[in-house]
Formats: sequence, C-alpha cells, structure tokens
Amino acid sequence: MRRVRLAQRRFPACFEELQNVGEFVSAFLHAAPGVPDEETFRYNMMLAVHEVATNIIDHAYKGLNPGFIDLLLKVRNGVFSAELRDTGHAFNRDAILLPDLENGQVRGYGIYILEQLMDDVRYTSKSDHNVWQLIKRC
Amino acid sequence: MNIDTNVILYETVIVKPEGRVDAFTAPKLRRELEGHSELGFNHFVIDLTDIEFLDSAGMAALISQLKRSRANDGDVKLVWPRNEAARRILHLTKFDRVFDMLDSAEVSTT
Repeated sequence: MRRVRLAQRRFPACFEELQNVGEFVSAFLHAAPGVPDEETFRYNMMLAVHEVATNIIDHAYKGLNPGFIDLLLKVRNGVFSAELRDTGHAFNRDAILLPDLENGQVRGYGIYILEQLMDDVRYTSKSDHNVWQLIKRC
Repeated sequence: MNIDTNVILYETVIVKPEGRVDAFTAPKLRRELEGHSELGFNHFVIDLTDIEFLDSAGMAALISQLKRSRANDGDVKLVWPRNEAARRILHLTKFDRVFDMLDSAEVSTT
C-alpha cells in the first residue's frame, strides 16, 4: 500500500459536500504513516475538520456566492495537521461564547469540540483569504 | 382519610435517526421533532443507536428539542449510540449530564 504523507483537495463550500470532506480525511488517515490505527482517532479528526468546514460554509460564505474550501492534510514527524483555506468573511472567534455544558445551549459546541479534540487551533485572516490550521500530535 | 391521586398518562414519541446527523441532515431531524411538538407531544426518546456521525449541528437540534419539551413540562431522553467515538463526544460535551441517557429505547416504555 502506498504511504501518503500529504493530500490536498478543493471542495465546494456547501453542506452536501461535508460527507466527502469526512471521507477524504478518513482515507488519508488510513494510509498515512505514524497515525494511530484507531477508529476513534479517525472519527475525532474527521469531526474536527468537519466542524471547521461547517463554520466556513455557515459564516465565511454567508451572503456571498458559493465558494470553495481548500483542504490540505499532512502527517510529518508524528504530527497530523489540517489546513482549511477559504475566501469568505473573516471569523471572529471572540464572538463565540463557550457553551454552558452543565445546562446545554444551542450554539457554541462546534468551536468547543474543535478546541478539545486538537492540540492547537490557529486562525489567520488575510486580505483575500482565511486559513484555519488544526494540529494534533499522534 | 382522603387520598387524591392523579394519574397522568402521556405518550412518548420515539425518533430514531440513522446514518449521519450533521449540518446537512440535522434540519430534517429538527423538522421531524418540531412537527411532533406542534401536535402537542412533549416527551421524546431520540434513539441514537444507529447513528454513524454526530456533529454540533446535530447536537443543536437535540438541545433545541430538549429546551422546547422542558418548557412544556416534557422531556427528551437519548439512547446511547453504538458508535464508541460518538459516545465519547457526548461525554466530552456533557450531553450525558444534560440529558437522561438510556441504553435502549425499550427501557423508556417500561
């Protein structure tokens, strides 16, 4: 089997594509060297990328013509990273409150889940694109 | 001695989504639950046994129904998913403390 260390793909930024995004991440992790061969690990990484993709679809391209999400996956030196790039509105992390976990609330779980599952979450907004970087040490 | 007993009977709606419950499919689940609420049902069991994937949008649909039901003196119980990874996310987000969790939908009807 060919050992993959890097994979890149562009997805239309629409909810219908979310399953394809997840399958792309799962297939990459199945083949990548140095990644735990555990269903839970793959599920968690799929979910983290999925939450960012959903955020981009929901917020970055809100009110704009449908755009794309450029997804870059890498495994290097025992570290899995996912980079998601969009050309929509910038995301304001400070505007998202953490959910009230004891009582439950409707919004806010996406970012909370993302930050719990990954070791590092970085967001950069440039003049013409935004980049999410998710990092997980395997 | 007077004893006043009120027996309140209610019907429980058991809803069982299968496959993915995510930002794409969650609206359908939400509409299903809202439809039953509009008919006056306030007690639900949402059986997550056979879900393959659950994201924050799916979780939002569950929480929305919980709040709606409890505002009308009802409740929503969840059946644990068979998928171990999904179970862990419910634990991570403390859904297992916000909701009454069941091991099967059959338990709710006894």
